Amino acid sequence: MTATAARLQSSRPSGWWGMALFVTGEATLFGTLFGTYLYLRLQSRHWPPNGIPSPKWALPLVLTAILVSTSLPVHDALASARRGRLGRARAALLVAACVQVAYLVVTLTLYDHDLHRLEPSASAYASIYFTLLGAHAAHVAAGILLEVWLFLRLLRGLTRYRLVGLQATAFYWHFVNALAVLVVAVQLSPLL
Amino acid sequence: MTRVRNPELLLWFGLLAAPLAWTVQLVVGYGATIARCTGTTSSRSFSLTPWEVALTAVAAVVALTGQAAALLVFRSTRGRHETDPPPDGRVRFLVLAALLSNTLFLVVILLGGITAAGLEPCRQA
Repeated sequence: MTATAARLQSSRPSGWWGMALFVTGEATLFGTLFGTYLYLRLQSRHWPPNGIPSPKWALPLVLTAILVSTSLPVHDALASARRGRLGRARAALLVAACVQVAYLVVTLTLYDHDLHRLEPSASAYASIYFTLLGAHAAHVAAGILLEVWLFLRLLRGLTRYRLVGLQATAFYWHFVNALAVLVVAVQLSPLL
Repeated sequence: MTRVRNPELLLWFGLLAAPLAWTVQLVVGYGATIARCTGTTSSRSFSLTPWEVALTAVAAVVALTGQAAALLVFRSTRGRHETDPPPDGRVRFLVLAALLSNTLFLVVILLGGITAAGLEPCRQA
């Protein structure tokens, strides 16, 4: 195989580049949210403001570790699909989606609990706290929908189009998991 | 079909110039505002408006140059389709994305500049 042919074969498809552009846009969104959080924190004498308890650390850390671990089955699904092992790809995708749904349910329950003890409009801290966590939860939900859609498509067999979809979705999940680490680090930063 | 000498370089310039111009406009404008509003008495003497106008003009010119580069690549890839195998499909897809995002970023740069130049400095809501 010539070098040019090898390069062409390893070139990413347009679907992957589309996801790369989308991820860049989402990274900008979260960059502005992190920037806003840091700005507000540096402008405040007390963070969180007086009367608001510091965030608890154990459950968010465990939940983030569980979410990040789903990068493994997502990666396995992609690797299996590339080798033509469709059954294993479907199973890995289903395992990842089930764990991610469990993560989302617990996260939304905690979010609802926080909403009962702290109103988003009560302070700048509350506003950015709920915006950051809500934006991340929305990204997890979008990723789960992508996975379920792909799983249903893979039930009807593997095509090049679906493989590109799986490649783009795997990229998205690795990004969402990297974001999860950054979001929890910012969320727990008042404890440092 | 227009032939361009280095389509890859032009493509990446067309794709990245406008967002980078917007980023620089935002960060430098923010820094100038902080310097103007929280600095010493001497830093409070300079006017922000000429800085904001100049920054917006430079960012807009860079974004327009990026759009011109994207247009050149778009014309040189006429007849190709974004679903073609890479690299042709990729170049066609990314140049379409560049044409769209450059338009959006130009609007964002202009609106941001007009707002920053028009608002009263150092006054929080």
